[in-house]
This record gives sequence, C-alpha cells and structure tokens, in this order.
Amino acid sequence: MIQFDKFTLDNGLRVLVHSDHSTPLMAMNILYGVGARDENPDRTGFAHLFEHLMFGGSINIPEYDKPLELAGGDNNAFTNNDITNYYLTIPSMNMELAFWLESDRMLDLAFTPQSLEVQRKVVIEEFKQRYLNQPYGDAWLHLRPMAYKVHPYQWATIGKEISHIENATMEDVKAFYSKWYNPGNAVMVLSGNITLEKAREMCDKWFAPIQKKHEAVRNLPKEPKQTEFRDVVLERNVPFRSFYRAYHMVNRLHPDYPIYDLISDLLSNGASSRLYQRLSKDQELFSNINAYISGDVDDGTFIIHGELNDGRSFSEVFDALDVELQEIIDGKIGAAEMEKVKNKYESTFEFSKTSVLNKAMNLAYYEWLGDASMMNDELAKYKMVSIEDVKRVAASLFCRENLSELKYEPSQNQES
Amino acid sequence: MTKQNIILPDRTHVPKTGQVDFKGFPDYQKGNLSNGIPWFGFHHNDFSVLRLDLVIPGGSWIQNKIFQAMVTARMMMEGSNGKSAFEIAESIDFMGAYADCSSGNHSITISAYVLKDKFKEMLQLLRLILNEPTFPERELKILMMNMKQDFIVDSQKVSSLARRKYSSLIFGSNHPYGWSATLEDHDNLLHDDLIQYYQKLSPVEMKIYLGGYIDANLIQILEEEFGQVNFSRNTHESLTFQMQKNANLIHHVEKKGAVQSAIIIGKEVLNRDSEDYPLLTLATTVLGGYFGSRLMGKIREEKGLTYGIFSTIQAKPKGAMFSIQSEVIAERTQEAIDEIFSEISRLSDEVMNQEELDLVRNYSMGGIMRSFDGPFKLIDRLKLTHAYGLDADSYYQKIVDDLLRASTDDIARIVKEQLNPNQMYVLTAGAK
Repeated sequence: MIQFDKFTLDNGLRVLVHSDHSTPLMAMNILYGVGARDENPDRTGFAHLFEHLMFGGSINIPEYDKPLELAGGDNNAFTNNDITNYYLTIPSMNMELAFWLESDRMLDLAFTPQSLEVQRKVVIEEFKQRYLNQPYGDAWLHLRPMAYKVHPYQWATIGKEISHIENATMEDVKAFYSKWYNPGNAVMVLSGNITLEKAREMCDKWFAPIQKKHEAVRNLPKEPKQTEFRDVVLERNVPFRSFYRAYHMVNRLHPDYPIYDLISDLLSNGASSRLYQRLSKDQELFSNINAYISGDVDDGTFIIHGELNDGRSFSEVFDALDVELQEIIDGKIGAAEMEKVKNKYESTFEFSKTSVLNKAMNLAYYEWLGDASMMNDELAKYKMVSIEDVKRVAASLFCRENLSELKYEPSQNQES
Repeated sequence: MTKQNIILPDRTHVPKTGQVDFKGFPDYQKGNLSNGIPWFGFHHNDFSVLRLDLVIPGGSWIQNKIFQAMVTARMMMEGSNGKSAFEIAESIDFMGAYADCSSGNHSITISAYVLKDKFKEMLQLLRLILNEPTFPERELKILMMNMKQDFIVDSQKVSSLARRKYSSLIFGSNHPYGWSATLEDHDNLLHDDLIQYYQKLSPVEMKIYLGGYIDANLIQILEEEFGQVNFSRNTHESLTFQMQKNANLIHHVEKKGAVQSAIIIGKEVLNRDSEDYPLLTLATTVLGGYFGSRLMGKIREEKGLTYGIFSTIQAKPKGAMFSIQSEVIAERTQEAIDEIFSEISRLSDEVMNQEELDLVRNYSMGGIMRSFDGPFKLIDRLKLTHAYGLDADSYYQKIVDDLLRASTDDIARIVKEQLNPNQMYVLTAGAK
C-alpha cells in the first residue's frame, strides 16, 4: 500500500501528497495530460519539442534551471505518446522555490524566437542521435505507421520527420501551450519530506491563483480492427537480421490489461522465461529476444523483438517462435509458472516504492488515468489472472491478421 | 479555500533559499560474522525489499586473459553442483528477485534485490553460486556467442567506438584499465580459464553490504547462512601495471556514413584520494557536469551542435581520467572541438563570477544529498570509499568542507594544473 492524501484546487489542479520523512529531499512531479497522440498529423514532434521549450523561461522567470540548481535541486522531464512529465528533487528546506518555478510555468510561458530556434536544433540532433545514427534505430519510425493507420500512435514521440520540427513556428507553439498546459489538465504529486499542511499552504499560495482555463478536449479516432497481416522489410547497413512484431492489444484501463502484461512476462521476464530459455539458449536462434507491452493509454501494442543469431533465417526463427506462442494459446502453462510471474510482478511493485521520485511518478500517472488508489489495487488484479484468461486472450492476440511485422535485412554491400 | 482568501504571491522575486546543510555520512550498522567476514547495513523502516551485495577482491586486475574476470563472474550464475543454469534462474525468478554477478577492475560483486522474507532462501542460493560453480561448457559457448554478436552491433555506434579506444590511450592496452576487447577475444576464452581464475578468488575476504529493513533477526539469518561457512582462501601475486600513455594526442576511428561524430576529449587527472580532488570535481561540474554547464550552454544551447555534452571524472583506485563526451553534427566536428577547447581555456584564463560558483557549489551539495538518498544508494557510496581504503565520514566531510571553501581562484588554479588543453587527447569516431 502507498498512503497518500489528495486535494483539488478550484482551478482544477489535482494535488497528491505522499510524506516520507526519512529523506531530506522533496520530489515534485507534474504530469500534463498531453503527448504525441494530441498532435496535428502535419505538425508531429510538438509535444516533445514543447517539453524542451518549457525550460526556456516562463512569464516571470527568465531561466528555469539556474534558480533550481542554486537551491541544490535537480530536474528532468520526458514525453511519450500520452503524457509529458516534469519532475524535480530539491532539499526540502528549499521547497518553496520549486513551487515558485513550477507554478510560473503553469501560469504562462515567455517564449522567445531564439529559444525556439535553439531547441529546434537540439531536438534535430536528438532525432539523429537516437533514431538515425544507431543500428536498428529507425525501427519505431516504421513500425508505428504499419500498425496504426488511423490513430495518432502512428507516429513516434520524436515526430514523423525532421521537417515537422524544422518548420515549427511561434504561433504553433503558443497554440499548443494554450490548449494543453493548464491546471485542469495536470496532476501534481509531492513526495518525500513534506507534510500535508505544508503542501496545502504552498499550493494555495502558488498554484491556486492560476486561472482555470478551458477544458482540453480530446477526440481521437479509434484504430479499426486490423484484418490482414502487414509486413515491411528494411534493408539496412546492420550486421544481423532482427525483427519487431506488433500485435494490437487493449487499452490501459481494460480489465484484460493485466493478462496481456503477464503473457509478456511468461514469454520473457527473467532468465528463466520461455523465449530466452528455449529460443536463445536451447535452440540458439537469438542473441536477444524480448516480449513486452507498450503500456499505451489507448489501444496499445504487444511487442516481440528479436535479434537473430548470425546465419539464422527468418523462416526458421518464426517457426520456432510460433510454436511458443501456440503453447500459450493452448494454455500449456504450469501453476507454478503462473505463480512465478505473479511473484515477479509483486516484487517489481515493491521495488518501485524504494525511491521518492518513483513513487511520485507512479501516483501521478495513476491519478491521471483516473484515480491514484488504482495503484494499490493493481496487485489484486494481477493475482486473479488464471490460465484460462491467458488462453482466451492469447488466442485473439497471436493471430496473423493482428500482426504487423518489421524485419531488418543486412544490406548486401556492407560497409565495415 | 475561497477565492477571496487568495493573496497573489510575489512571483518576481526568488523565494528565500538556504545553504544545504550536511549532517555527515548517514549512520550505518556494522559487525563481523563468526568467520570474520565484515558486514555493513543501512536500515530503512518502510522497506520490504533488501539489497545485498557480496564484494570479493579480485576483478580484472588479477586476470591474465581478457574477459576472464567478467565471464567467470557471469558464469557463476550459469550452473552449480546440483543446479543447472535454468534452475538457478528459476529459483531467482520464483522469489521475485533479481540477482547478478559482475566483475569490476578490483572486485567481483554478487548483487541481489529480494523481498525480505525471501532473504534466507536467497542467501542459500548465493552460497551455492559462490562456492560450487561448475562453469558448463555449453552455457559458456552461448554466453560468448551472444556477447560477440552484441559487440558487433555495438561496433556500429560511434559512441561505443570512441569509448572503447579512449581508456587505452591513457592507460595503454596492457593495463587493466586500458584493455579493450577485439572481436577475436570473444573466441579465445576457455572453460579452463574460468576454473583458473575462480581458483584465485578468495571469498573469505569478502565484504557484505545490506540495505533495507535490517534488524537482529536479519543479521541472525546472515550469520546462520554465511557466518558458519569456511569460505576458501587463496592467494594471488600482487600485480603492478605501468601506465603507457599513447604518444599521439589526436586519434580517429572511421565509421562511414555516420551523421554524427562522437568526440571524447580528456586526459589523466589526480585521483579521489588527492588533496585537490573535491576542487577538480567542482571545476568539472562547472565545465560540463550539469544541465546549465558551460559546455551545454555553448555547444548545445548556443551552437545547436548536439543533443548533449558532459564532462566527467572516471576515478578508479589506481588511476583517474577526465573526459568530455558528446555526439555532434558530423560536418561540424572540428568546430565543436575548437569550442570545447575554448571553454576549457576560458575556465583557467578568465576569473569566473561568484554567482556561478555559488550555483555549482549548491548544486553539488544537493547532488551529494541525492546520492545519499536511501539505503540502496548509500551502499554504493560506502563501497566506493572502501575500494580506496578511505573512511566514509572523513571523506565526505572533506568534500563538503572543500566545496564550501572553494574560491574562484581555486577553480582557475586547479584547471591550470589538471586540465591543460595541450595535454589532452582528442578522439573522434565517425565519418571523416
């Protein structure tokens, strides 16, 4: 159980407080409910570009980082397809500074054309470093548009292409802020060395005066059911064959979600898992093999990713992989094995509670999903999953019509 | 709360903040098991999870073949008397635990994260792993094959190509800190090499580190499972290695078609046990140790040449190296290098302003606090000081005292003494 208190300001900002006085630090996590899925298809990469711009100064504070660093604090942020999440830790004696900084950038930003110019360049280099200059780095740029034809998960957080970032204008950026960055679309979690009383006092002072804005409305198309096998082969200057399989699965709040998660654990969580033991070790087909769920809020994907051992063909490894998937569909799973993956889930959950920042992030995410107390109910849902559940879900999941497959084929004329 | 009660805060002034105060290295428990093995424990009331580290002296320092230490360590998890690799993995997974065995330059570490009610079971398993490994041939073959393939993939990354080469420039390729594997090395390690290395280890000389909910009962379990065991004692010759610096300062590794080049610039510097080490870390932080650093300001924010750039000191008991690392727009690599050097020079030639020094000082104090946050992190801090034979309390007290005392003149002096641009290696990997 994670204990927390919750209150909501008049402007709609939800605040959660988790006190842990064993640490001299306070963590502040602010989640804004906006991600790459909220972007215009011709202006992708914006949520993430925006995350960079959030450090370029707000209405009353010319620079975000310096005052925080001067107070002994540290911060960072990340963006994914669903959310943009900002977090910091600061010695609790200096906590007021964090309230000052974060409330000001929720109040209003002070964009300058210069900071837009700079962050555009930085993000373009990030694009190159992560996606273009790494072997297999462009996988998700190709996998997403294959798996999603309608829903905005069809583009990666970094954006569809560099030109979208290059062409971003001040007007675009301002409109994006005004639409999504407001108290009603945010969740704040304070954890560590702070009391509920202090949290209320600080929130009343710094966040309550921020005006309520319009509700951010989201109306995203649902991805239609896939009805045919899809595949793409990428010929690249890479040393070995590799593949990604994306199977469509349910959304984050669907009651079957834990079943999908546990199927991925049966397949590949830990050194005793099926795919690693059988395909990597016994049959020596893969140097690396993994199954995981994307964790998206809307209908997500179940991913299997493998790197083939030198000389192995796609047909032989897929035959072997499909045998393993069929075993799951057939429910050839021992009771002890089910218990094993549930134990693993339980301890992972316990491990996640060993850092104030982690706890803050998790609470914010669950609150944004609907209710932070869901976090405390998750374990029970996982414990209830039966082998029958696994069979039922796997049968509809591992169908060829539900599959998008990306393959990397090393190009013939390799450069060393 | 009602709207009328709201008094608008003054947003134009920075709220008052204070100097982060340091209350010394946090308390920990320690003791010795009956067989003399020392243990150190960091307690937390609310943790249901334990971290356990067994640190055995050795590491790559005492190996006589590349990969010997690292692979012996990893293979200890891959089979023991009476338990196959699969059975070991299954036991760990069934406990919901994580465990791994790795080698550093001076020690082998078995590290586990486990729920506290599975502690006894984990200790029994680790004892088996430690005392009765079998190093099965087939598991060795698979491990080496996978490592080789990962190595080949990694060779496509400019950052990896640069990092592999950098330490050999400073320490020489015959020094344990400078060894860099080749593709062929992945084919040369034999079962007997692991046996031979294992027989040099002296588990009786291990130290045990614990973090989590630590009470008398837990220590009693540790005593029962580890204190009554006669762990083997072996001796190995004490080896010394000479550093052999590369005579050329400029190096390039070619990677055709790369759209970014990796850059590493740096040199050997004084070590953690030196008087001036805290000052050097402070200077390194000013230059490239945090988000608002000079290098980030110039190379990322002003020039837009990179996504990130940082400077760091990699200190090990027998030698320390400073480096600046980045991946930059390929066609503008030389411009980036010139700008980096100009930032280093500016740090020694121009007096920095007091405000910047105060900022980095406070940021660093906060960093120390973050590095002490919780039992798991504290284990790392204590292990580090033990590796140097330093006392944690006095070591951290000195760092804090020196940080608080440092002047702008001190920074300029240490940069002149330790970060002379004329002595720095410049290594690039990418497309020329």
